[in-house]
Amino acid sequence: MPIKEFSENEIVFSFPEDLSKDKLDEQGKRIPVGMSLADLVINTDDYTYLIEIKDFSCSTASESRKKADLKLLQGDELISNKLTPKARDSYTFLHLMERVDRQIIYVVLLGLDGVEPLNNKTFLNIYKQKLIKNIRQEADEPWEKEHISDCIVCNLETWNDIFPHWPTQRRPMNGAH
Amino acid sequence: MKEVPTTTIVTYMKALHFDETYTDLIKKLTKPSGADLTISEKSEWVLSEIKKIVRGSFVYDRSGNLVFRSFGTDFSVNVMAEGFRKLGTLCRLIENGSLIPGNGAPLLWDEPDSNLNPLLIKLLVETLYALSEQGQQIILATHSYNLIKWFDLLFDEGKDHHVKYHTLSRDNSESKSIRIDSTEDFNAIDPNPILDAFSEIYDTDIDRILKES
Repeated sequence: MPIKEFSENEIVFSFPEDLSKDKLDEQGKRIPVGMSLADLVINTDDYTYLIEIKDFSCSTASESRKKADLKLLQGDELISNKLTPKARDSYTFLHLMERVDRQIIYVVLLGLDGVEPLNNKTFLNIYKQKLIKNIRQEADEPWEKEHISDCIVCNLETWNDIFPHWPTQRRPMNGAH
Repeated sequence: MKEVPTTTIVTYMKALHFDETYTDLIKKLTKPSGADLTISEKSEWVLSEIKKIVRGSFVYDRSGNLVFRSFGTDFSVNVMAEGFRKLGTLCRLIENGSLIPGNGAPLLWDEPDSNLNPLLIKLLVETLYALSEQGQQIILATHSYNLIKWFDLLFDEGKDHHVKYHTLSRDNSESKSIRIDSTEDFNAIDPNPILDAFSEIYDTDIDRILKES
């Protein structure tokens, strides 16, 4: 089956060419004011996957930048201010486009290579629980509708275990291996 | 209801072949506080932190019964939450000189985290490190990620901390004998059934999401 690559900076995916996918926040593409959208939408027979990629291990990022980015993982800042609004806005966008016709799974891929204390299933598991809790309830009252069926938080390794037919890898932009 | 005297309990426990550690603990717990006992600054810190959390302490009442006293009211130690009872036990052992860091036997503690509010585990580890900094050797058994991760996070070489993680497991040979793997590096603990358990939860969760949602 022909393969088409999709990359988000250093993280490169190999998708079957006929896979239904859409990059929501493509550069140059006008998006509704105030909306913050997930990187990619993939539709399969069963699900709509909202894919959000956060790379904390980009080889071209300075050490100070990496440290600042990692700070976002402390507490709930990334979850509350970025990941949850992206899930909600992406759902709203798809709904208004009448593209919600199957369950939505929100997949957050964290590039954590070399960040060993966090690059494991224990952290990913705990982070997922915090994320889904926040998605369900962002204000005083929880949403009545479960707009996101569930979420998956993974790193590159677990992504490849979960989605072996959509493999991903890091391709360093500075040429390092 | 009148409390059963400690000596009677210990006698019965011996007759019923209880593990000697229980009788040993009861004897040490019921030892009166020494009036001339000097408690180090760090141990005092341990006592004050624990007392803040449990809001009271183990003391003897007028009838000679060991009770938990909180804001002037005495309660039977049996009504205390087990996690608090454990912390109270540690306090009592320090207060009556049964546990003198650097000057006594090792502290053996099986699953100190069990029945303890997970939010208190950090404090528990801080108190154990405070005791170890005074020379107290501590040997713990646990299945808790929370507990060992706090040992890793609060580890401070500058304070002369020494931690060694030992994993006991059955080997794959026919005899299924017990093997011991030891390391001083938290990330090198192997085999690590605690992480294996988290991995299984993660994998099962993914299976459920993708099959049932």
